[in-house]
Amino acid sequence: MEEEEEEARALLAGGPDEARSGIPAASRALSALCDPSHLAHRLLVLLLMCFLGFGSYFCYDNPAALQTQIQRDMQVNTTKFMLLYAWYSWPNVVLCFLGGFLIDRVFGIRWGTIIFICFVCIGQVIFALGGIFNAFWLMELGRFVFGIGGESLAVAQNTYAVSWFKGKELNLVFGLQLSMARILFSRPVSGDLISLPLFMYQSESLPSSACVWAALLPASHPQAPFQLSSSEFYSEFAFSGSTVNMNLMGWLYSKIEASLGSAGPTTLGATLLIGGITCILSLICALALAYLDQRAEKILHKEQGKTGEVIKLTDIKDFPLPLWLIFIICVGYYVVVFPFIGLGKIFFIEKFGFSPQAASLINSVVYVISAPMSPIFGLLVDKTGKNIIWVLCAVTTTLVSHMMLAFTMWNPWIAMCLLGLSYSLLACALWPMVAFLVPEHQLGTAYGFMQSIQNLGLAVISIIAGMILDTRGYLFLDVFFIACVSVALLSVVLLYLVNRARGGNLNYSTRQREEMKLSHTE
Amino acid sequence: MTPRLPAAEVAPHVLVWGAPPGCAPSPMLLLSLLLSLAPSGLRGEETRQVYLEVPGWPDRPQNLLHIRAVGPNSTLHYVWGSLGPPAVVLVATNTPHSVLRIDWTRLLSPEPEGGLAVLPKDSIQFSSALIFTRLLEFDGSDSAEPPGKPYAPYPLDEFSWNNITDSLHPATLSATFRGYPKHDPAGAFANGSLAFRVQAFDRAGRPTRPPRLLHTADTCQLEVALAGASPRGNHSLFGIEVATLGQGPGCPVIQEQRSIDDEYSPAVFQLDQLLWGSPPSGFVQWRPVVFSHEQADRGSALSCRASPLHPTLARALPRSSVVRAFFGPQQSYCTFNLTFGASTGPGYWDQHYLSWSLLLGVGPPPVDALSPLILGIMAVALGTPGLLLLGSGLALLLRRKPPSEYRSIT
Repeated sequence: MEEEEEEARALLAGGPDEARSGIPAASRALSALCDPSHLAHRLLVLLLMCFLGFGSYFCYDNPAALQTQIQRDMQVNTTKFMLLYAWYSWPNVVLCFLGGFLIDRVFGIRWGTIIFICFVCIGQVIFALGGIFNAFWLMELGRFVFGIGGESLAVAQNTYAVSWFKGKELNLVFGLQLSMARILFSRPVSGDLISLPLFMYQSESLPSSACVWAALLPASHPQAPFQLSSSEFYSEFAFSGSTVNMNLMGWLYSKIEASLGSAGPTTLGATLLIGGITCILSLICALALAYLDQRAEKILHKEQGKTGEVIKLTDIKDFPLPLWLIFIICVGYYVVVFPFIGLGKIFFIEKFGFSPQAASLINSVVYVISAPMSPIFGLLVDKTGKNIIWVLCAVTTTLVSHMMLAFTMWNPWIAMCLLGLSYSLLACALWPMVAFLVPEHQLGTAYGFMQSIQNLGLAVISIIAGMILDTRGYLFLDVFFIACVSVALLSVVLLYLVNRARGGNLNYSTRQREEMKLSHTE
Repeated sequence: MTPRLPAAEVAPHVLVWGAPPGCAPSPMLLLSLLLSLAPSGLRGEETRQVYLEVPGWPDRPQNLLHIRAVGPNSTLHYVWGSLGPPAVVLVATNTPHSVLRIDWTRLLSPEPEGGLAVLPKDSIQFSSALIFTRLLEFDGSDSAEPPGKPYAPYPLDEFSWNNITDSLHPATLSATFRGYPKHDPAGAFANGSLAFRVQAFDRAGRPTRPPRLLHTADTCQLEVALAGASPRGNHSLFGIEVATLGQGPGCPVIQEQRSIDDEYSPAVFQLDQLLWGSPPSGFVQWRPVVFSHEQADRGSALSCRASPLHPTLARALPRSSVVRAFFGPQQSYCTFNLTFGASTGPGYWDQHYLSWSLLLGVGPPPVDALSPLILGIMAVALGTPGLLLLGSGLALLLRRKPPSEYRSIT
């Protein structure tokens, strides 16, 4: 009721269109699709938000899908090839701290989104031009520009989602949307998956919403705080085109090669340009979204969305030891998943004799599995608590999976499925722990810092992985990854011990947390 | 003055080099026809004294190389020759005192049977031969049927080879046979050559040059390098035809071994082997990879496909005097083709260079093992968290023991 009155007032005070039509506002109802407060309209907006990130996610993994072609046409070894991923991560070492600030204070959510997507488009075009002009440095520059836009886009996407869906019946659609998005497209490799500052303003809902939110983390990367009420979930929709990208780009390249008559940097550039059309699609969505958001602001008198993120770098010195251990686990874990997948296609072709298509498929199975499993694991961790034990399980499973891939000739599907499961589980269990360790006002800084060193680790390890591969081969690379996982494993064990020694609450079961909350309120 | 005929015992002009330490890879591959007899009781040696001898006279073409690897209980003789197609005869004896006898008159005649012998005859445990008969070329642009339509091959018995003494490197125990066609109307080899670099080893080791095949004192390495020759098409794929003597009715089978270890040959998980006898008393071993740059880095690696061995009549192949001299007349050989590269990706067209290596030896082939570095890293990576888990688990268990003395008031 209240909303309808608000709507009527807004219409009366609205633009010249409404006044000219002369129809009384009360008797004129907007159609469901045009009514910003109606679910149908918000679903349309949701769809637009999903496609907002599609271009960025699709183009992120273009290098992995075209690794053979890039290495052949641009005459680069694996070390230089991995620079394409490293350059994507470099800007985000810094930008993860600035994303919220840029959206809140400098650009506003609408212009911010459009600007970031323009960076994505321009970056992809420069990347493609690097191919056409046969200049690898231009490709690296393109990936750098692409990275500036791509990671900050996540913040924007999340802020939009909060602004449109907070307080509404989104939990009805989130599960469905999330699973659909995941099954259709899998998440690309990116440090952005990891970086999510969670702001839980209502601490009594902290554990449950933290766990479920963390379940959604792998599918999204909001960088902004958002409001959670005790019964609401919020999910970001990440459309990542990774599986589609892996299979589509190779096919597209061969088609262009057939039409141009020869393989070469020009063919590569043309393929990348065509792949960049998805970024144009995202730009159109951003413009549409900006228009709809502005219209909704006029009609509903709602404010432009804000990230509300507060970053204070001086808070870093206050971080407790368990938090630093969590940072180490985060870096040590994710550097063995993403660079491995980036380089995995040739590994499966050479060692196990897969065809290129089968190798692409198995390479992306980690993401495909995380789509349905993330909510399930999120609920599991939510119900049982004991986060550290789950993190331990996830890290150990990854260790086993890498050992299987390195030292046996067993069917790699087993190992990759295990990797996908443990990757989902870790995200659900690890990220909420940060919220247990730092006060709310430091949460933004904590997550921002986590994302920053994550990107730093990914950038550096990507290059090292390329170098190791060129000189020592895949076995040594896998052993190197096993060493990284073992560092994460060591940190988990230390975290358990430190937590236990200090009587911390990281490993409480849900029941214990409830009891603690009750005893606090008494 | 009539030319002195060689004595039955030892050729008058023998250049002998001692056995320096160290090893240098890049052997030249001479085609040798391998004829394996039933070897028995071959004992591998840790180190050998290696002597490189070029029998012959200074004023005559020197196209025979005799490598004698002497161990405490056995001797290996590798006789590499470019009389006819490049070939190697490999003989293992159970005494350190066996010698090679060359009857030059017979060897250089059209009927060379008996021209080569290793004495004493009853000390021979194993003998075998390998011949490289033809250099093949295919039109790789037609990818429908790899490797493609074949061009006319270059028979390697119609190549003219250099004097082996000019390319002898005693320090690295290696020598290079370099040749080009005698009759080259198209001028394909005007600036090019086909080189076979032979390298012997006096101890086990692994060269720094890819594919870094592990060698022992019982092996020698051969590297075939095609450089500078003009291909007959834009996407020419080269290959080589190798012949060996079959044992018994059938031909041996090339074993493709897949392993987890690509430490020394990045992204190449396969090792191809041709074994003589069972248990193997001799072998040829190679990695199915060919390099198209001199630096032999990973970006220049091409695939190398071997066809299965099939029997071929002797008269269909170029005849090798060296093999016939040692083994007598043969009716049929077992041949297989190796094709280098694929129609897409890096290829000969990049730098007009191809290099392929193989290892040839007696006894069972060397087996790669994980390097100590990998084992060390795994031990630390698994051991440290494991020990910590175990230790903390024990500590926590032990801490629970003392009962609490506190009794609650209620």
